[in-house]
Amino acid sequence: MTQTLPPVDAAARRAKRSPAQRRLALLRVVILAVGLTIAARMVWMQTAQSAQYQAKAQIAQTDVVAVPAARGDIVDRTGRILAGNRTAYQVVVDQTVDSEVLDRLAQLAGVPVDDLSARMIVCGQPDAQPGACYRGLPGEPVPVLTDVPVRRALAISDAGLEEVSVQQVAVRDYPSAANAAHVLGYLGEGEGRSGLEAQYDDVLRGTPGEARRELSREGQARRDIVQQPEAGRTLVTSLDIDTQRVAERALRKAVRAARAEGYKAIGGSVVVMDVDTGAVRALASYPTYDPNIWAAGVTDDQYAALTAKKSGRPLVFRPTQALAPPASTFKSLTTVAASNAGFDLKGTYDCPSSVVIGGQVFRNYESRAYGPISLAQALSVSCDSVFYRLGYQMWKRDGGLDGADAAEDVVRTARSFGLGSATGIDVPGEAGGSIPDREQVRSEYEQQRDDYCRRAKTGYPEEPDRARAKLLKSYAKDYCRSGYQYRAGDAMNTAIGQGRTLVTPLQMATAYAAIANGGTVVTPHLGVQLRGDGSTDIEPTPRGRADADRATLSYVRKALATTTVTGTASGAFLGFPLAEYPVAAKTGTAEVAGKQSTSWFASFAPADDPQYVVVVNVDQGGLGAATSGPVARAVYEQVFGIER
Amino acid sequence: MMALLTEPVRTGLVRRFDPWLLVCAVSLSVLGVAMVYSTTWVRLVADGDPGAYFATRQALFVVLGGLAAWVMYRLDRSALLRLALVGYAASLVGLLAVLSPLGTTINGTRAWLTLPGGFTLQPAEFAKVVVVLLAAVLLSDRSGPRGLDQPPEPAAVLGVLGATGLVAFLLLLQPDLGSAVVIAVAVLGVLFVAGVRRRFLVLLLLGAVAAGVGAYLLGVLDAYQVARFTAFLDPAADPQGVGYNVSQAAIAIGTGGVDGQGLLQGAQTQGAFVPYQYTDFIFSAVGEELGMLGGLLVIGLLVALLMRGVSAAARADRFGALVATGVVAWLGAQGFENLGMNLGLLPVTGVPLPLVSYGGSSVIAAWMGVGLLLRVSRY
Repeated sequence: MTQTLPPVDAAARRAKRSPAQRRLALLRVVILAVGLTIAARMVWMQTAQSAQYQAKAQIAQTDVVAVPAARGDIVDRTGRILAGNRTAYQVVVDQTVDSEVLDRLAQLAGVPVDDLSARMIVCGQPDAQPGACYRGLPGEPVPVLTDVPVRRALAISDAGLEEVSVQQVAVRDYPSAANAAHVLGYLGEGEGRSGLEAQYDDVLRGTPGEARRELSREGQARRDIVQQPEAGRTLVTSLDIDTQRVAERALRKAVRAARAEGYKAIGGSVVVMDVDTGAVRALASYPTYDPNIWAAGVTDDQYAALTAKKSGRPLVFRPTQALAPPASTFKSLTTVAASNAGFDLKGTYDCPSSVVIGGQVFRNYESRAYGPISLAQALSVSCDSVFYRLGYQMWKRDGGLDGADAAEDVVRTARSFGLGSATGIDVPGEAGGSIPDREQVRSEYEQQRDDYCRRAKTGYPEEPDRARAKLLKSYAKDYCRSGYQYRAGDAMNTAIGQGRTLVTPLQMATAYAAIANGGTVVTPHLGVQLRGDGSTDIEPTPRGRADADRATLSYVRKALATTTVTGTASGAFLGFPLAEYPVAAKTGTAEVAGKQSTSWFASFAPADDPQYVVVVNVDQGGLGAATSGPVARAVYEQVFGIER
Repeated sequence: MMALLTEPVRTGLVRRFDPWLLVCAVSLSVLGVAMVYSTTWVRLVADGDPGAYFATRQALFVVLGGLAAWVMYRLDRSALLRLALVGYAASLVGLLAVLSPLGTTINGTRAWLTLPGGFTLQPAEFAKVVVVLLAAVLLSDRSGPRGLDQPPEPAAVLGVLGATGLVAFLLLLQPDLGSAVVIAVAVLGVLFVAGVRRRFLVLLLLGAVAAGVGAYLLGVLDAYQVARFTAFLDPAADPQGVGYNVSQAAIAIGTGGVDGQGLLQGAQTQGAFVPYQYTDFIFSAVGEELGMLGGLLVIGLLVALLMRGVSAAARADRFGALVATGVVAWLGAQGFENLGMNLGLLPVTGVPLPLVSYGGSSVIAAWMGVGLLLRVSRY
């Protein structure tokens, strides 16, 4: 082993020490070295770096807050904006603002100063007013005036008030000429709460960014964006602003006209849809409301008005939520069902003015007596008695009252066209509806029997109208005794779209689209594509095939095409270029006990090569042809570009 | 001053204990009580307490610690031997008990047993004294006086490693990484001074490092332990969690300047910006309120205590030397780790500053260590 010798005196000193003493000496060295390192670090922090820590000390609190992303637009099929963002001015004040400044600001803004101070009280405090109180983070400036007109905003900005500033914020805006309030939906606290805004919320919303928020000891907040937000994607819809506007206007006019005739016409719907794809081109609902009211926050009074019966409940989206019996528009389905059940499409069927079954008289409502006619003619003129009889005959074949293993062709066929269940459209809150069959009648009876049987004994003492109370009691008695039965009258009423059948206008549009396109039950949809960061197509799969053969559907199409020429809708389409654009249609006038009749108009065009289905309905709006027909006509004129 | 730090007081045969040891320990304890008051009174007053609740309790702990130190000072060698064995058994029971439903979890570590009267017991603190004592006992020769220059018997070394490993394993289950590391370093110190071959020590260290890396890779460590480590490397990565604690402590110390903001005057301290300031982060309050001078005083007192401990070891017989070395290595490892994490030099592992930080178990155990040092210094 070779080793350089240490200096003599050190070697001598080391020789005096034992190995153990040397190890202890090393321990001393380690202790001193670590101690000095730590001391040096502390001294450095407290001298050289002290100023830097002084600056950091001013920041009392740090947290990470979300930076909202710009919400994606909703556009129509041509790219015109239905829902977008606009810049609005808002006035914010620091939480430490003094009352003189607030007085001056109130003057400039032309509002009572109490309104401003109410906005500054943090929610949850004793004197906080719900709706006005401050929900934000501590230390942040409080918005006291939202959506301030530009001139006011400039005046306030120019006044240079201390601790007051004017900010630009993005506000959801609905700039299009069409209303489409229900389709688009609205936002609540930046989140889609209904309509497309809710359905596509996650893609429209984008990805929020992050900001580091520092709260100083003096209570001032400062933000540093650490991650930029990612804007939401644009939703391209199949809506057409022009079609939508025409549909809305025509519906409004139809409602007014019906009211002028003495009908209540409490509301209505228009559905315009591509028959092959289910892409919705217009969806109008009456009454409606201004979607811009949500931007500033809806007051309790406004909300009450939006949901009140007196105002027609404008928040209800009638095309997907208003259930009604489909009336004669259902006869197209009964025709298909009859064909499925083996009835001859080429045969003749007697159309008297009424039929008598079991001592009960069933009258024609819309048509007179025509004598022996084809099924096609029966559809075109909407002869009730023909369909009453078909319904009765199918009921008898199913075994009448017993009907253990009934085929129930009418119910089964109608359901296969998508009636009586939600269509799956991309607007939340859709109603299902129902087409009761024997099984359902029985199970409902099981549930309701006890109630009705009690009422059969006690009657309706709370009902002020004695005559009505009596009627109700006799109905209760009847139901208690035999409500489990699926009677001939039930089957006959179902066959003409009355009774307990309940559908939405959109379901009817889907069923007629299936008739028009050869039997495909499409999924109605508004969303077509998502754009921004690449584009993604939205292609919902069809719901299935209707239970109908092509020949039958072709027969029904031809029959319906005559409705606008010689049938019930000929008046409404007088002067319409039917040779060029043949329109297939079925009118309907639904009767609901104790109410005025509901007007229906289900149609598609061109009848020989269908493109669009148009379904119109006016609740308590009178006759189908007279009230709803003109609405459908106006829509066809728009989509085909027909000059009046 | 240098003489104080290095040269033992040699006036013939010393039969009296080294007074400097006592001066250092008492000074640190008194400072501790003052800082506990400074870091807790504001919140106590806000809760309707006169303000001295924690400081009073800490003073009581110091008195109890003094009594414990006196007992350690008085015990003879055979009594210490019995104490080491009984204490070790008791430590194992205690460490198992905290893992049972009897234990209480605070800040993610299951390390406390609840006692009546609002007191809690942290067996890990006492385990430190006991393991150090046991290592010294095992590595000393039982057959007669044997100098420090002879290497220990391999069986004794294995015994020490086994006893330490078991305690460290139980500590890691809590998980209390900081205490496990402190005990490991203390025992390594004892083995080193006892004359174990360096090659063996190096292997042990490498094994420990490998175990640490393995634990990280296998995911044995809890997320918060990993977070603490990464927060130490980059406090800005987690400004809400441990990083917040580290950066607030650094702000407190950095704003202290040379002469400090004055006792009860520190903005960070009185504003309660540093979490756990009366326990693990008490040095940040010293740095802010007493400044560089106060901070240097604390570091100096700790270093002086350790140096006098080494001096005591240098004069003692093999057993005494190993006991003193163990206590020095333990208090040194724990003290420096605590100061290091306060200053952002070392990761946060949640060990108290000996004699200064609030905590009954910690104060009493540290004073037991001081008692042992005083006893050894009599040789």
